[in-house]
Amino acid sequence: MEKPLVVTTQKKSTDMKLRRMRPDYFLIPAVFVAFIVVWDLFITFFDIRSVILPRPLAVWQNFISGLNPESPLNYYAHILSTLYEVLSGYVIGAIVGIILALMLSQIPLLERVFKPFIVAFQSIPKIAIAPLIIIWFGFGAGSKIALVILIVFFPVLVNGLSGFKSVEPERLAVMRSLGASQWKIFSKLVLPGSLPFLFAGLEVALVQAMTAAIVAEFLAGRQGLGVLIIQMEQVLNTGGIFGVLTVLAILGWLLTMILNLIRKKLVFWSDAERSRK
Amino acid sequence: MTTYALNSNVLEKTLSVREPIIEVRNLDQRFKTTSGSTVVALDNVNVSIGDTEFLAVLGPSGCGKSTLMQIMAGLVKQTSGQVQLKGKNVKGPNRDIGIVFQRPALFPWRLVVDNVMLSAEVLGMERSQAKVRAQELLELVGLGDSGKLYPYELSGGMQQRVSIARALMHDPEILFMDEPFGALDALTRETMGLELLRIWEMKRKTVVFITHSVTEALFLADRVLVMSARPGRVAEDFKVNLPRPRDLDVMSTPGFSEAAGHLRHLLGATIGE
Repeated sequence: MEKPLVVTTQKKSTDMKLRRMRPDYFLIPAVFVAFIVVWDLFITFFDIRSVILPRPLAVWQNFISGLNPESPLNYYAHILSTLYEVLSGYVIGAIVGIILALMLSQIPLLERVFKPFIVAFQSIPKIAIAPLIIIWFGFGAGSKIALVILIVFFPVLVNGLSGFKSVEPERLAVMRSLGASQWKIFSKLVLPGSLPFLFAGLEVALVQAMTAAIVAEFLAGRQGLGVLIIQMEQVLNTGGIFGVLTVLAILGWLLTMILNLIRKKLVFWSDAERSRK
Repeated sequence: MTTYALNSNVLEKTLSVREPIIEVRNLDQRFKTTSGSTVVALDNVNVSIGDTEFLAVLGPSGCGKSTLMQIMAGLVKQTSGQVQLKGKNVKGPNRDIGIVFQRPALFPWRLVVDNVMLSAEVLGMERSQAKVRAQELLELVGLGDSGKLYPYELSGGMQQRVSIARALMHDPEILFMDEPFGALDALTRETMGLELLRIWEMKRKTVVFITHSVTEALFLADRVLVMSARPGRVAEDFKVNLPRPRDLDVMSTPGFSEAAGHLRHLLGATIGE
């Protein structure tokens, strides 16, 4: 009978199903097919060598052979490595970012002291630190995770900070007028209210996390999709590179979808969320 | 420094009618601006509010009427002077108070019914009882079947009804309303005024209603505290001699227009100062 107290409540909306019937769902595959056809015609027309640009079919064959566990160049171990680096770095970076945002938002002095450093550090392109990170953390997964943490940390911190500080004064007054404790004000008002901001940061961070892991693998690494790309580059296996890029696209899309699902569950109520198509 | 010259006029007027539930004496509020100058928001404000009385605080923007409310609600500390609630000095937030603001200030991630139940959760009321009470309150404000909706699915007027239900949830004796209908269109505003009177007559709360609308103040209140701006002072403590229960027709009576004329004149004079 009793429903547990949670911030979100699932709502099955029927218009969600209706929306899926829109022409988008026909046009998206159509555009994809057109793209493939133009690509292939382009190669035929200009007589481009496969080392420069492989045909779609060659990319597909490479992709399929990469999926075959028997193949010496199969993707699985590399996918696992890269996913491991991205996910662990992402989770750690996000948690550290949220905790720091929380501390800075609660203690104004701390925020005033650290804000200039954060701003200064934020303006450094973090990818430029990658070689340094490899010197410090070596050639294994550690250096990749460290770079991902560093890259994820900033957007989460900055967005979390504005989220935690964006409490509407009247809502706060309602809580305060009831004599609510700091904890209740935080858990019932500040935290749920900051979620749209946090998710904006998490979304930006996700794409950057993938980039960071791949770049770090380019520089030094034994395993991972970035390593695989470099190996293929060295033998001018352009078709193979495109195959790995396909894998990266699918992985990125999957991770974004998962994040979107969580976001929809948690911040379905926000103005920004409801104005998304 | 502090003078204890009570505004005896004010006290006599109200003490004779009802036992006071809120007493404000010699209240001053000053702010330091960033440029270093001092702004006097409230200057020696004295008011006594009777139990179950409907008091309107009327004044131009910047007269400190919201500040007065926040001090009485224990949300803001006064510079000097005394505020007593049921004979005790106000030192902070108090459970005897429910607040409604101009914006509904609902929590958009909560269902309407869970918004109403907010104070029950904060104050640790038993959940199943609170649920029953929240439903009763939603029915009282005319939203009996909207509990399972989200605030964004309601119109502005309906959201403000939810906010009133929320303020009543913990059964406070006093309801502070800071321009609650200020953001609504004229038609909704009148309906909400009627609704509020109906609720007030049923629940018999003390209401402090802040507004800058003369008609709204007269239509709703037993007494209108007219305030002047910069510094915020009580310009007049005006007793509304209109029969109750009131409906919208009261606004076209000669007594109403006469009183409205008087208050407008007074407001004009205080602004022109």
